[in-house]
Amino acid sequence: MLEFLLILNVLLLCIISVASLLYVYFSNLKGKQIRLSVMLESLPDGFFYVDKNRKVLVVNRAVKEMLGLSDKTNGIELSKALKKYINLDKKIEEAINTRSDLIVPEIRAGNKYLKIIFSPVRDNGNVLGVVVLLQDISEQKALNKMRQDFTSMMVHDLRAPLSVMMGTSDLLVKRFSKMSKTKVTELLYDIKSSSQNMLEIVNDLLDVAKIETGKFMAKKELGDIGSLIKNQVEFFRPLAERKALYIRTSLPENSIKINFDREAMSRVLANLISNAIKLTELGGITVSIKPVEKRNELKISISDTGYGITVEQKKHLFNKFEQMRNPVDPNQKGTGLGLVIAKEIIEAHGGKIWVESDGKTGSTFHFTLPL
Amino acid sequence: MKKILIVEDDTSLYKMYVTELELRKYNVVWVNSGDKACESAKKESPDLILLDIMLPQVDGLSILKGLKDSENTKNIPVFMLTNFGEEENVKRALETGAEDFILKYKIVPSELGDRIDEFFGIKKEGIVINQG
Repeated sequence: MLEFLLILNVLLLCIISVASLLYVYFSNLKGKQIRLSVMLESLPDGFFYVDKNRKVLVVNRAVKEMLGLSDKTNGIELSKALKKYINLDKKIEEAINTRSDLIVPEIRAGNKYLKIIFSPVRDNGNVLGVVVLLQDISEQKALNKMRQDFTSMMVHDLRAPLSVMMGTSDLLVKRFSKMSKTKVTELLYDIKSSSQNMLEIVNDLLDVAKIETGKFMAKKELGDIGSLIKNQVEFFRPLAERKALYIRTSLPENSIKINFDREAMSRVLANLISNAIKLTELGGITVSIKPVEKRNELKISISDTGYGITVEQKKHLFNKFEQMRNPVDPNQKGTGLGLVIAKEIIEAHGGKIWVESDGKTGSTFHFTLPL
Repeated sequence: MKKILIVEDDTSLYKMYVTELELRKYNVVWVNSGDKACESAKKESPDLILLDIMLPQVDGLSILKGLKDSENTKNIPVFMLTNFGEEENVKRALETGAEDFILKYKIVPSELGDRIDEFFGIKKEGIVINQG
């Protein structure tokens, strides 16, 4: 009896051990399944699996979001929804037969652009089904479009002064004898200003290229920022006075010495002051410096009493691609890249640039520089 | 004397064209923005319009459509004169009724003058061969 009980006990212990092992095994398996399911759900790309009987299984959240389907959409409904955009059965067939990945570079699904990858799943040489990945390429496509528009605008802007230089010089060569001295001077001046305009465009483009390749480095040296501002204001005074605008400074009495790249900072100030003059018809421009001691920085502000900048325009101001399309000054000559370049220069100095405007009564561009 | 309306926002380009065309005895009128173009075409009744595409306010292709949709201006010939030579623009302009599509950077004023003379049937010497 005792022996029987002992054997029974051992048997029970074995059963318990096996059961525990099985429990641990299945728990782990379940855990793995849960983890896999969580991972698939968190994928930013759409994922679903089609078995070799063309049954759609395992559809993640991103697929439903991309196609604008409800959370409860099942495989059959998904298959139907996709048929609007692509011959799913044919692609699955193709992927199974060729046993290699199949890429559909672009389909339009509603307002989105998707890239689809069909990848056959193999086990010992047999194809079990096909994993389908959906990637939302809408943003990438929009960026490419902006790049193309930018290039196209750039080409146009370079052709404009070139047309003047070519055409006007040809005109002078052929018609010189029939023109008055005043007319000749006027036309020569046009050639001169067009070549200057072209040089500015090329310089802007070179600066942007330098910035993009990370080659722009601020060559900082200790200097008086106030004197640089005064020089720039004096340089632009005749231009402002030609439009009967005032141009003044509001600077601290003592000189403020900081480390900055004089050439680059002249460019920033020239751009902001000339923009302010261009966009102002009445009143004027004030350039001021204010030390913000608690932040250990200087705030430089260029205020004008011009048209102001709308909320919509503010969004495009510092964006290279959009500035070309939506310039604040529709009659501007040149690239409109000045603000994009200014932002990069200020940031290379460790500062910030932004604009305040109610869209009606002028605007103020502020930028900061560390003390 | 034939009258030509130039719709061009770039003053330097306009000056270059007007100098050549006036030497060829054309009467040239000028507007520098899109919103004034249709109104000026109605008022001036030119024999030809040279129309830029990229203009402030309204673009040249929209102006062309406006001109061709209006009873008063639909028969005025239009030459598109632009640096935007994308195929889509050329196609759209010609479909809308432009007579010609000229790229500014590919043509100097004397060539433009020759093209206009030819359009009006005028020989280089200024002799009218066909009043069209």
